[in-house]
Amino acid sequence: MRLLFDHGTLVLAEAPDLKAERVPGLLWDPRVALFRAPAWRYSAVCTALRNWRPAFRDEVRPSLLPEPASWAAPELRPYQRAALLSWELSGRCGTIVLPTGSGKTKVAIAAMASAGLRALCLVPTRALLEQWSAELAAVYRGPVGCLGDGHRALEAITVSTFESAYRLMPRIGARFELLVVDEAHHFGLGVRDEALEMSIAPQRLGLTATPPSEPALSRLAELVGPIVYQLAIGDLAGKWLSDFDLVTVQLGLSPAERASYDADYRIFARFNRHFRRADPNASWQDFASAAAQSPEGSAAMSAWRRNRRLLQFTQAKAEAVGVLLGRHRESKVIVFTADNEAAYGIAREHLVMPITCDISRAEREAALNAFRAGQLRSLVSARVLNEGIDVPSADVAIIVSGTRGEREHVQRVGRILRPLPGKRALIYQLATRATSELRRAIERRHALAPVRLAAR
Amino acid sequence: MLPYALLRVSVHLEGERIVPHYFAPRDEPWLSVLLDEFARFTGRRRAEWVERLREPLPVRAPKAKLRIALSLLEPLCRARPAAAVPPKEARAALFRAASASHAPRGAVLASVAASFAVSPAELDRALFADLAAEQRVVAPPVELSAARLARDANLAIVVSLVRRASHVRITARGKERALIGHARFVGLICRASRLGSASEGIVLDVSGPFALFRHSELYGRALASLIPRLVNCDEFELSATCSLGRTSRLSSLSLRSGDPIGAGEHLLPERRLERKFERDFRRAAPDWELIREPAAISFGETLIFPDYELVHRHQPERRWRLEIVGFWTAEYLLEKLRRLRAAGIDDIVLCVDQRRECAESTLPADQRVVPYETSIDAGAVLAVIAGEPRRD
Repeated sequence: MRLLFDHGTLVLAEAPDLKAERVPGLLWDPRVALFRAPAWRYSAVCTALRNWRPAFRDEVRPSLLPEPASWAAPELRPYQRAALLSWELSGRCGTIVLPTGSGKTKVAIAAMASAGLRALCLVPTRALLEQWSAELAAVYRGPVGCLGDGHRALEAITVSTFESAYRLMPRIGARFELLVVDEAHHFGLGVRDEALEMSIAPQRLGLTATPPSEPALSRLAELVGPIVYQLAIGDLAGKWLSDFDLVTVQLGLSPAERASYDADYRIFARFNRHFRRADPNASWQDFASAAAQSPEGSAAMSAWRRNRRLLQFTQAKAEAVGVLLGRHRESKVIVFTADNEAAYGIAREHLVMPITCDISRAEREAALNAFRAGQLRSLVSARVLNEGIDVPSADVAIIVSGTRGEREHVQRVGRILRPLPGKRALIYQLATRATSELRRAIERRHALAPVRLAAR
Repeated sequence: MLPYALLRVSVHLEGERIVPHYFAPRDEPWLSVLLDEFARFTGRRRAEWVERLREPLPVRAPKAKLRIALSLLEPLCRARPAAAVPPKEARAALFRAASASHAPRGAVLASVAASFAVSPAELDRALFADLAAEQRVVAPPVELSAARLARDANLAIVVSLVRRASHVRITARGKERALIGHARFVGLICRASRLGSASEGIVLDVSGPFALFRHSELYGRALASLIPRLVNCDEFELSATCSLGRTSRLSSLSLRSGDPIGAGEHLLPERRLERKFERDFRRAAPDWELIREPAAISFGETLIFPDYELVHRHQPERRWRLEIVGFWTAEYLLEKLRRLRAAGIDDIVLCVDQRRECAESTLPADQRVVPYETSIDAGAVLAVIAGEPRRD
């Protein structure tokens, strides 16, 4: 009886008397007349086979890469050590939740060093690919492999973008024993889960500042591991992260904007009331599906979109950004907008360097270096700086608008909490009075509280 | 590939059957208006075109179909405008100067513009000239008629549907070889059998390894990449089970030659590997004729589809077949060679891409296995078929 890896799956050959129900995840594949299981069930399949036929031939593992070289394990802060210990005590399968800037990468490197296994680190962006490669190269004594951004080098320790891992996992899924998944909240309900399903890695570590909600959280627990350690910004601010003040600036609408907003709100509210009366517990997705079915619903959705767009960058917000940039001329400021259009508007009007998806990576890097060196005092970004990029120290954030709720808020705030002696960060959150935006801005504050308070 | 929301409104279900809302001749008048309108914006900013689309066309156009047509036109908004200063340099200089100065915007702009020897307005225009919104609309190609746009849109609908499939069954006649070669190349499990006589065509059952457990987007993409090759077959029928909603409920899609689907000519670039091999082999072996896509060989219950037949010009009884193998493992190749030998088929060369192995394994030591990396060595193939010792 032989177990082999085949395009993201495991096939069991020469097992004539096997009953599939003995082995979790195993099914008979009539197309090739073999038993087959998804690769991520490798551990469970091996355990079951070992119990049944201890002499089976595991031909999956020989396809792995050479042994990893040695590590210079990084020095950890107390909470990082606690996170690592929790992961190890959980059978090296779990997700660690730590705020932005608290050193998640360091925990992952310590985990890789302690496991001493062939490891594949999955990262969402090309910028992070470079960042992780550099951090690993500083402490790992062998060559660091890289998949993505034009590179295709497999080594015992390899970093890959999500996209490259997704495309290549049917071929490389048997080569790593440890998967490290950075920004793990991107997994759980999407297409990319396939990359995790097509890997045999029995040990897995997820890292995130903002775990997803159900049902993605349960799926993530299945594919990577449950949350084994969790701290929020509120737990670390003041010692390991910079202390901060969050100021919600309430702004008005111009008469023309108010008239437009109210008119569109009425169109939306009329359909919404009607819909909610029929189905009070319906989700937003249900609402959007129902709205697409009728002209009134379509009009309501269009009105809702117009209002959302209006609130993202009102006249008052544009003026407030100017005032705040002027007030903090001597500070390092990051301005966050909801979309690129607003970012370019601010960039052009106030001569602030934009960091968007349209700006090439090399130019972004140059701009971030200039910001780090003090040659640029401010940056404006829609989403690119939300997560993943190692943003140089800043002390003021102006959040003009956002569309992605608490997760985005936590990520943005985390960008400026890198601790420095005597630093107290200042975050301005612009919100429009007498609109739903103000309520959401107040709600988002709770996401920054310590974990126990947030849970309450 | 259409986004899910757009795909969902581009079909309806009749029981379990998916009925695509194909573009039809009645759509051509508004498509013509759209193309004219698009052409009118030639040379103008992409952002202006996007703004124009917020207003309706002068003729009535179905909303979903309009969005599909626009998604096909979108890649044409690609030209970059000329800028007085390279935008990247303009940004680097202007934003650094603004950070270093307390002067008002106009003064900073004027000072930096002077350093580039351009006017402040030119510098302002150059600032974001390379970004998406500033790209210019390019005139649509002359061959892009309303009818062609409709056929391409239908192809986009079908490709998007098949991408949501786990398994497809294809009956094809004429040019089916490209289909099989491609299925093999993208790692699909493809079982081929003959439909009666050779002239009646073949039946292919194609699915990804993961199809046993659930729909996989990765192999859905691979299945969808068969469609442009399928529509080039002389005759075909396709049936697929697609997961159309967010649930696991499956619906069936049927497609046949004669359906109003574009031929996907632009989607079918000839593979560089074959092109180079053909050129190199003809040069290296003038005594051998290279025949593309020869007849299939019956092999047990299934068929083998060699990519080439190599026939000696002066001794036509000297014939070899050549197959370019997609994904492989050592076990797979050994088993294939063993079965070929058992079936009395010795005159076949297997060209194996060393970068596409599924497992870290060594190639079987068999004269008929020719490894390659970026291109197939015509000399190595010639050495095998001419019975000469291999140089490697």
